Amino acid sequence: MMNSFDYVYTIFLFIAIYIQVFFLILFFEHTDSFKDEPEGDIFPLEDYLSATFLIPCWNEEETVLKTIESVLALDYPKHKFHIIVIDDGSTDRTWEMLQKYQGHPQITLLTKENGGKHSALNFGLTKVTTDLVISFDADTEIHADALMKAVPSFMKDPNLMALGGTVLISSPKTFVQKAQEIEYQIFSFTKKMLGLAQGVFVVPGAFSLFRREVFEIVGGYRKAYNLEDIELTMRMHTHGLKIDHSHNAIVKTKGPATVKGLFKQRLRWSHGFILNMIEYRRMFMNTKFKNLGLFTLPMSVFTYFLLLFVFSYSVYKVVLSVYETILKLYLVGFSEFKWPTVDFFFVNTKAYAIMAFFVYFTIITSYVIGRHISGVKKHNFWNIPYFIFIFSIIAPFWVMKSIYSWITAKHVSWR
Amino acid sequence: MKIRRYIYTFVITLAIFFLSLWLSNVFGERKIQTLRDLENQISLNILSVETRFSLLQKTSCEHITNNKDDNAGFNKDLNDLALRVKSLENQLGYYNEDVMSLKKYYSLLQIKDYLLTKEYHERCKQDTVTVLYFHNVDCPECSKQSIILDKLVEEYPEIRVYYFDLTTNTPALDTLSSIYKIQQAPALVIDDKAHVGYQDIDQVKSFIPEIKVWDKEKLASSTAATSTATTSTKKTKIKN
Repeated sequence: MMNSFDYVYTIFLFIAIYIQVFFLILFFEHTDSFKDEPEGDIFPLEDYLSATFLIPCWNEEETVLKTIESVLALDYPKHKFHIIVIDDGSTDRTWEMLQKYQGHPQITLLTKENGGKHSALNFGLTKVTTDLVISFDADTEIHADALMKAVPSFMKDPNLMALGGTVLISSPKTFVQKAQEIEYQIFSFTKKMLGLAQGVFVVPGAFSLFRREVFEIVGGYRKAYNLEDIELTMRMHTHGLKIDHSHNAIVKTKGPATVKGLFKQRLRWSHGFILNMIEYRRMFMNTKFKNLGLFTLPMSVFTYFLLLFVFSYSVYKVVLSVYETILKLYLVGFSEFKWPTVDFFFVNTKAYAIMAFFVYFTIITSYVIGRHISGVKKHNFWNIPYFIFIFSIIAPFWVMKSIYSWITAKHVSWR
Repeated sequence: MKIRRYIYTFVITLAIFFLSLWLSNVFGERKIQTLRDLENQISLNILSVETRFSLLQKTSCEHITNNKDDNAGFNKDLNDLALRVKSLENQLGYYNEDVMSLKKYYSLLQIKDYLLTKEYHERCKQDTVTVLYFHNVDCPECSKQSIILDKLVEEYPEIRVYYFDLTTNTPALDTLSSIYKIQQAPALVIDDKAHVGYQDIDQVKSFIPEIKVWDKEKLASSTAATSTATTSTKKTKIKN
C-alpha cells in the first residue's frame, strides 16, 4: 500500500503536525493573555522603568535618521528614555548626518573603529545607566506605544529579565518583501507561543528589552558567527534567566527588497544558526531546559530538514517529468499539449497528501492568529503564494549553501 | 513546563494521523466504487452490442453503428477506464486486492471488446485496426512502448490498443496470451501476428499496412484543402 518514500514523508508530516498542534494548544491555553489590558492605568507614570536604546549603525545613512525620529516620537516620558547611537566606523555619511543630534538631551553619539555589531553594542553597554537596555536596529521604526506596552511586563514580573519585541515588515513593495510580510506575521504567532512556553528561541536584535543586570550576569555580546542575538538568548537560557515575548510591542523593518538581498541575509542567519546550534547542542532534548530543549530547538532544526526534504522531493518530481518529456520527444517527436484532466478521481488521496493538507491548514491558521494578536488590519492574504514561493523554492538554496560552507569550513580546520 | 501538554499534543496529532488514514480509505473506496460502476456500464454496453450482433443476420451494419460516429471500437469508455485504473494503481498500490480485481474485470472487458471490434471489422468492412499490447509491472521497456502506442492512437484514431497486464492472471487472458505464445513483455499482436520485444514507432507502423492508405487519404484531403484555399485567395485577388 505504501512505499518507503511514503513512510518517510508520513513521519515528517507527523512531526510537522505535532509542532503546529503544540502551538495551537498553547494558544488555546492562553487566550486570556491576548485581551487588551489598560496597562497605562496600573502604574503611575513616574514608576515606569527608565530605558536606553542602543542603536549600532554601520553605513546606515539612509535609514538611521528616520529610526531615531521614530524613537524620539515614542509615547513615553521623555526623561525615562535615552538613545545611544554607536557608529561602528561607517564609511558613508552616517556619522556626518548624526551630528544633527549633537547636544540633544536624550541622545548620546559614539563612534569607534569598525569591529562588528557585537563590539558596537558592547561599547554602548558601557555607557548605560538606566534600568533597561533596548537593542535596536538602525533600519527599524518603532510604534509609538511599543515601550508603553512592553515595559509594564518588567514591572509586573520581577523575575522577567528579557523581552523580545514583535518585528513586522513595513509597507512591502517587492514580492520578496510581501513574502516576508507573511513570514513575519506567522513568526509573531509562533514567537509569542514560545514566549508563553518559556522557550523563546531568539530575542530579536531589531528590538528587544533587557534588564541591565542581564549583561552583568551573562557578560556582553559575542560575535557568535554574526548572529549575536541568538547566541545571547541561548546564553541567557543557560543562566536560567526568564525570557518572554511581547506580541503588542511592535517595530517595523523594511526587509531586503530583492531575492539577492534576502539570500545574503538568510545565508548569514542560517550559517549563524547552524554554528550556534552546534555550540549549544547540549541543550537539545535536555530536560533541564524544559520547553526550549524539548521543543524549540528540535523544532527549529527539524524545520531545516523538512525544508530540504520537501525540496528534494520536488526536485525529484521535476527531474522525473523532464526525463519523461525528453524520452517522449526522443521516441515520438512533438505531440499535442494536453491540459491535465480536472477530476477528483485523479487527485492524490494518499494519507500523506491529506496530512500535508492539514499542515498547510495549520500554517494558514497561525498566519491568521499572528495577524490578529499583533493587530494587523491590512489585508495581504493574496501574498501567501509569494511566501510559499520564496520559502519553499529559494529558501532550500540558502540552507544548502550554509550547510555546504559549514562542512567545507570544518574540513579546512581539520588540516 | 507541562509534560501533559506534550502528551495531549501527541494524542491530537495521532488523531489527525488516523483521521488522514481514514479519509484516505474513504476516498479510496469511493474511487473503487466509481470504477466498479464504470466497469458495469461498459459490461452492459458490451452485452448490448453482442446482442445486436446476434441479430446482425437480420439487420444492417448501419444499425449497429447507429449514433456512433467513431469507428474506434464500441466503448470509448474503455480508454477512460484505463487511465483511471492506472491512477488507482499509483494511489492504492499495485498489489492492492481491489485494484487487482478491478484489473481482472478490466482485462476481461477488453478481450470482449476486442472480439466484438474484430467481428465488426470483418462483417462491416470497417477500417478499425486492433493492437493487443502485453505489458508487465517490472518491464523496463514497457514505458517506452506505451509512449509509442499512445502517440499512434493520437495520430490515428482508427487504431485501437488493448492493454493487458501479464501479472493479472485470468484464465481468459492466459488463453489469449497462449494463443500468440506470449510469455514476456513488451509484446504486440497486430493482425494476428505476435511481435515480442520493444518496437520503435517506425517498426510498429510497418506492421500496420492500413497506415499508408490513411496517410495517402490525409495527404489528398490536405492538398485538396490547400488547393481550395489557393483558389479562394486567387478569387479574392481577382476581386481586388
